[in-house]
Amino acid sequence: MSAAHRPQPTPVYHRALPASWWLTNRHYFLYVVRELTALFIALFLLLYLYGIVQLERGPEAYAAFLRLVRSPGVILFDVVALLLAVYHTVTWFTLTPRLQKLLPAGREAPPGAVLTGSLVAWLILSALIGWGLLRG
Amino acid sequence: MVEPQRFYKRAASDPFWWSLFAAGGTVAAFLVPIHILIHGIAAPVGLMPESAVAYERMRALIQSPWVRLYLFFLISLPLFHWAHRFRFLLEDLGLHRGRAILAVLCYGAAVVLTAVTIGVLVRAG
Repeated sequence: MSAAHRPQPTPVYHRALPASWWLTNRHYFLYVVRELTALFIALFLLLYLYGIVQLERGPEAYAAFLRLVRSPGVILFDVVALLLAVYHTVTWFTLTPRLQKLLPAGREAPPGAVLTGSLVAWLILSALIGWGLLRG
Repeated sequence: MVEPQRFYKRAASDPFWWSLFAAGGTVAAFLVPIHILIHGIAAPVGLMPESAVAYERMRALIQSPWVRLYLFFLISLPLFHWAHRFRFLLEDLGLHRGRAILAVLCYGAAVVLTAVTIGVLVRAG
């Protein structure tokens, strides 16, 4: 069959979705919140990076950075970022057991055990990092 | 047999970006919250002694190559996690036209910011 006679692919109908689709349902809303956690985490890390830059520039620049992170707006941002980061942590640990589809049937770890184990590991790691940041 | 038309065509580079996304999501899940809690909230509102974030202390901390290597992974990998999620989130919110440009912008931003991070951390040594 020559190219000219090849059947055209059937056009696919995509229903137009209103821009507010994610506000119509709790699950859709939480999906968008979950995806947005990554944005707040990235913004916090860029602020962290800026802190390292100011640290390199010397004591005065670093003092200016400390004043910045003590301003109410930045603290409010950090509170929101922490809530979203913890939401990311919990949803990420809930998602991990679903990747086990790669394992043979019957060999998967129970999702509840994966979640509990991950949360315990997270708390231990957080304690270790906190100790590393604050010792001395 | 007629293949069903995919709305999203897979690119050869997908597994590469997806691996960085997964690594970044894991780093963000395990490591980021405690940093926000200590340096973003507890220290700024005064729940920690002033000395906890003193210039000399932080300066000494960042002199360690291990700390800088840790900071590299801590900052860089979640940027790729952001790029991946943000790209598909914008698509889901209705940005269908510039999909290729959007992907380049998001992953490109993560690559550029990773280069900046390396530069900052190398100079901090």
